[in-house]
Amino acid sequence: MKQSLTVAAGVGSLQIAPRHVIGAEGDTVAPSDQLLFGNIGLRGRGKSFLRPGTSIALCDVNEKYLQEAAERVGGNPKLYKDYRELLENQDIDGVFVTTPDHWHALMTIHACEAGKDVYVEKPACKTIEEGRAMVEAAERYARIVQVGSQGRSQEGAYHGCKYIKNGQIGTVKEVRCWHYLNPKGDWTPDQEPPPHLDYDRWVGPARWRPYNPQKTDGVFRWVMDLGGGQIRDRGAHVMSVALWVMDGDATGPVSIEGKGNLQFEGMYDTPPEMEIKYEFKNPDWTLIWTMPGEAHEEGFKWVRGSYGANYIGDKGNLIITYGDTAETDTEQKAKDYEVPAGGVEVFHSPGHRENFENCMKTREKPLMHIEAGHRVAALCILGNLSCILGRKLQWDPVNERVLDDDEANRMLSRPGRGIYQL
Amino acid sequence: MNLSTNMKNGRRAALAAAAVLAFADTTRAAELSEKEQAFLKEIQCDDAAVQFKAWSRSGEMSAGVIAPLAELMNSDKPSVAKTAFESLDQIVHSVGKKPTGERREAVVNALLQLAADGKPTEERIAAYRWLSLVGSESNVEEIAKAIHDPALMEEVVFCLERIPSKKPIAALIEALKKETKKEHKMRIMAALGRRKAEDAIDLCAEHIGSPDNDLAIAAMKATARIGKRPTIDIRLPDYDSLSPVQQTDFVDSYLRYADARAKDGALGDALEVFGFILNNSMKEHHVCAAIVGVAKIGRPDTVPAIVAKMSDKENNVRILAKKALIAMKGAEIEAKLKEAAQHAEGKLKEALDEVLKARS
Repeated sequence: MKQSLTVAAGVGSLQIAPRHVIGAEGDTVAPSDQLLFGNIGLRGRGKSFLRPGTSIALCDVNEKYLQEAAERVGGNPKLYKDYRELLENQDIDGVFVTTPDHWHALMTIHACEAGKDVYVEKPACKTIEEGRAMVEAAERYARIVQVGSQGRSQEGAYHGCKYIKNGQIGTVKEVRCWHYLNPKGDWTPDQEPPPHLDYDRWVGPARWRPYNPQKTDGVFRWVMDLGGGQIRDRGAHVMSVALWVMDGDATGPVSIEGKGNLQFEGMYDTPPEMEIKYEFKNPDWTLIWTMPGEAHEEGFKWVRGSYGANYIGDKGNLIITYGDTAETDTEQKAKDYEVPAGGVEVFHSPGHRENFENCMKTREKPLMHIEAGHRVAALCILGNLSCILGRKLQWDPVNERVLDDDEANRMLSRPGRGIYQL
Repeated sequence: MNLSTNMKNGRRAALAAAAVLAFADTTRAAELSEKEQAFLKEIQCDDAAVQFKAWSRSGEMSAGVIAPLAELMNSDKPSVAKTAFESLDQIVHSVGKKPTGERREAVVNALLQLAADGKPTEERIAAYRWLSLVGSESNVEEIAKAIHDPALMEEVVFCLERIPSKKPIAALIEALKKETKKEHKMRIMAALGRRKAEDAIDLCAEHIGSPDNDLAIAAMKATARIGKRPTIDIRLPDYDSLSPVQQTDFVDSYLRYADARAKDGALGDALEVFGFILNNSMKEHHVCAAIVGVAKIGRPDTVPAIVAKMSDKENNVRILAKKALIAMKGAEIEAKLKEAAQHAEGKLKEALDEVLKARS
C-alpha cells in the first residue's frame, strides 16, 4: 500500500504482551510452566476440554452453557459471548475450538491472527476453501494447530500403524471403512430460539436458516449444510487414521465416486446409507467409505456402535476399529509386534491434548496438524459432494480443483454471511 | 440450505392451497408432459415410497416442473415440502456439470422467475442459492436487481460472489458505489476481497478513509485480500482509536497484503512491511509472520534480520528464526550465515553453528 510505512509506524507503538510460553533462555521452557487456555464452545465435546485452573477464559453463544461451564471449572474464569474478544485476552496461550463444524475455520483463522495456538475439533472445515485458508493462517503466523482426530494418539491406531508401515500385511491396496447409518430424525417444526441463545451468532458464517432444536447442538450433524453426517463426524476419525497409515497427509485422491440413497423419512437430509470410493495414485490404493458396509466386529469391544477400517494388503489384512476414543483397537498380532532394528518407527503420542501442549512449547508440528486435518476433511467433503451431485468427481489434489465440473468447483467454497467472513 | 420448513404456518397453508390450485390449473398442466404431471402428483402422494421414487427421478424432469415444485416447498405436509425442495435441488445438480447447454439455460430461466420481484421471499432466497451454483454472467444483471433490497441483499451478494467471470464483480462494484447502508457496504467489500477483485482495489482503498472504523477496517481487509497496490492516496484509521479486535484485523491486513505482494513478485512492497515489523517491538506472532514472509522470499540480504531474531526474548521467535534459516536455500544464504557465525559470540554463535550443521 502507498502509505505502508506510515501505517507501520502506527503499529510500532505496540509492545510485546507477556506470554506464558516465553522461555528465559534456550529453546524450550521448563515443563512446569503452565499453559493457559480459552475454551470456545462449551457443550458436548467442549466439556472434555474444560480444566480447572487452566481454562481461564470461556465463550459460548448460549448463556446457559456458559454459566454451566464456569461452574464446572470454578475459580473466576472470564466469560465471553464474542469469541473474538476472548482471543484478545493476553493471558491465554491457546484455545480449544469445540463448536459446531461450520465455525471451525473462522475461529481457527482468527485465533492464529490473534497469536493463539489452536486445538480445533474435527472435521477441520466445511469447505475446501476454508481448509486451505486455515493452513495458510497457521503457516503465516507459525501457530500450532492440532485437529481433534484423536485416533492417531490412541494405542490401537499406533500399534496398527507401526504394524502396517513395517510391511506386515504387505503392500496395502485397499482400505475399507465401515460405519453404521445416518439417522433420519422426526418432523420437529421450526420455532423461535430460546432467550438464552444468541441464534444469529450460532448460525454465524453458515447460510441463514430458522431455528430448530433438532438441527442445533449435537444434532446439527445430520443436516448436510451444517454437519454433513457420519462421514464428516466419524469419517474424520477413521479416515484420519487411514491417511496416517498410508502417508497421505499431504495429498488427496484423484477421483471420488459417491453413491448415497436419499433420506426420505424424517427431516434430515444426509444419506442414510452411502458408499464412496476414493482412488489414490503414486502410490496406487483405494479408500472406501461404506455405511453400513461390511463390519468386522469379532473380538472387539463395541461401546458406541460398530465402525472402523479393514486394511487389505497383498500379504494379509488388519482391522483398526473406531479411531476417536480410548476404545480404538486393533488385532492382537499388531499389539504384539515389535519394530526390529532398522524398521520404521512410528510416533507414539502421549495423548492428543498432551501432544498439542508439548508442541506449543517445542513449536514442532503436532501429530494431526492442520494440513493433515484439511486433507482428511477434504475426503469427507468430496465424498458428500459426489453423493449430492450424483456423479463421479475427478480431483486435482495439488490445485484442489475438480476437473471439468463447473458446479462442483463452485461448491468447494461457500461465501460467508454478514460479518462472518474468512 | 433446506428451506422446506421455513414457512410460518398461516402463509404456508395459504401457499399450499395455491399450489394445489395451480396444479389443477389446466393451462399449466397442459404445458407439462404426462410424465411430469405424474411426477408432481407422486411428489404429493401420502405414500413415502411413491414420493421417494418420484424424487429419485427428479433430475430427468424438464424445467417446467420448477415453478410447481417451488410452490410445493410451502406445503403444510412436511414430507411434501421436503421432497419438493430436494427434487428442485436434484434438478439444479443435473445441469450443473457443464457451464452451458439448453437444459441448463431452461433451468436457470425458471430459477430467475422464482427470484423475480413479487415472489415470496423464501422462494426468492432458495432461487438465489441455486442460481449461485448454475447462474452465469448472462444472468448477472437480472440477479443484481435486488441487491439493495435489505431482505435479499445477503443472498444476492452470496449468489454473485459464486458466479465466475468479471461481470458479477462489476455488478458488486456498481452496487458498492450506490449502497448507502454501512452493513451492506461491508458485506459487498468482503465479497470483492474474497474474489480478489483487482478492479475494485481503489474503491475499497477509498473506504479505508471512512471516519467509521468498522467500515475502514472492512475496507482494509478487502484491500489486503485483493492484494494489489492502490493508485490513490490512503487515509488510514487512527490505530489507537481501534478496538483490540480491529487492531488485530489492521495488522493482519498488512501481513496479508505483504504476502500477496510477494506472491505477485513485488518484493519491495512486501519487504517494506516485513522489515518494519522485524525492526520494531511488535507482538510475538507478528514477528513470526514477518520471519515466515521474509524466509519465503528467501533473499540473502534478509538473512541478518532473521539472525537477529535468534536472540529474541520470545521463545517462539527464536525457534522459528532458527527453523527458517535452516530451510532457506542457496549458496548465497549459506555464505551470509557463515559470515554471521564468524562474527557471533556465545549462544548466538552456538545456535548459528547448529543451523549450519543442520543445513549441511
